[in-house]
Amino acid sequence: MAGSMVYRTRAGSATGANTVLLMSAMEKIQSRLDNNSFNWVAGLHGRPDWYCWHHQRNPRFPDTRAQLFLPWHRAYLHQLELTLQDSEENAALTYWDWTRDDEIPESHSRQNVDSKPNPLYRYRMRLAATAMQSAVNRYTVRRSGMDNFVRLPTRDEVVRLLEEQDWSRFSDALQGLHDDVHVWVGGDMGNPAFAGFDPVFYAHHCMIDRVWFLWQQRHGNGNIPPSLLDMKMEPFALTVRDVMDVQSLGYEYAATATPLPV
Amino acid sequence: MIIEKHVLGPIPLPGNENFDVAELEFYGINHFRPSYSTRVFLNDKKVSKAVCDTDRASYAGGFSIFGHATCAGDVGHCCVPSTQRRFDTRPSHPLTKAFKRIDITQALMRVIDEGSEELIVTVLASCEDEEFEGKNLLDLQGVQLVTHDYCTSASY
Repeated sequence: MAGSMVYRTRAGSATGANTVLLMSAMEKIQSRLDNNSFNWVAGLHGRPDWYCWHHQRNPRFPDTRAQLFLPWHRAYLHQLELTLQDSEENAALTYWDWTRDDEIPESHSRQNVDSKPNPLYRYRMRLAATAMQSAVNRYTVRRSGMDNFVRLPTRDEVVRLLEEQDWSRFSDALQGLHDDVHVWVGGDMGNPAFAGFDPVFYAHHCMIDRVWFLWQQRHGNGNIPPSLLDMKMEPFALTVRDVMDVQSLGYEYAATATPLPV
Repeated sequence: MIIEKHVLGPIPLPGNENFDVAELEFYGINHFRPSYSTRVFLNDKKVSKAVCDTDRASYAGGFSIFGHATCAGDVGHCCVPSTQRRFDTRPSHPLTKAFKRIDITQALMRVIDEGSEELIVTVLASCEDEEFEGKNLLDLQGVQLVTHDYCTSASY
């Protein structure tokens, strides 16, 4: 259905209908190298474009603190989903519910599916050399669970987090859980420069976005500072206000969404 | 894997034991570091690189830093301005020091119940990147213990 809303469902099996569609779209955009490619979108986060907003953290000066972590990544996921939909109209991202799955889901951890390389398992980064940095041409790597100091967030932690009413404290705490998962996956996911090139990055960030979505169901937009709402989120043509309602971006979250044959 | 040990304190425990929530705030964290994770223990002299399980009674929580690792730019690229100029409306520098908050309510209650009068915080920081050995992984400006009284029945 052209232009219809999509459901981002829970990542799991490598052969579910939604995952097969996502894999098909991902394979297509990974085979390109123009500005409709995975390589281009992935490069917006860290190398080479460095737009990510993880670290705008300045807790002692709230007035100058640009807490764009959640909205910027919502816009970023939207950008990738639109790019995927250029290749497969109803493709939707999936989320890795790390409170239920204590390993990377099969859809993103199986090296091959139907005897073909799984485009959600890894990606060959292709970055040109710059005056400061050498070229990169290699597959992404993970070292899941190697850092035994960190564990994946639990359901109880998320349930407690959803009770938080203050936007700023909620955003900080969710960012904390986010950091845990990046460190737990390790490898390129543990480095902001390359994390966006690992396809599991998007399943992880969909879960972060979903927790924010669930929080919005309970608390609306909370006490998000009005000054934040009109901030533009480069490089996207979106302000924070533009991403507050996920339906206006064409998606929602569901545990499953199974089309019936008619 | 490298593990660093930092002992912070002692500080006096809060006089009013009737708090609802106790938090440790770590501020001014330098994240121009490889990604790392931490474990935080309260009043436990036995904690070490080898003795740091999360099932120890003294374990209070932890946090991770999604570290920026290495500089990707030219001279001055990774220098965070100490002040924001009047007409500079750009958001803060990406390497603006980080902030983390962990809930230590249960762990602190236990310390108080044990009759302690002061608090010593031990932070172990762990990192995969062994090249960072001895380079002070956990680099921060301060830590503070904050308690909140939300006027629930427990506090009146």
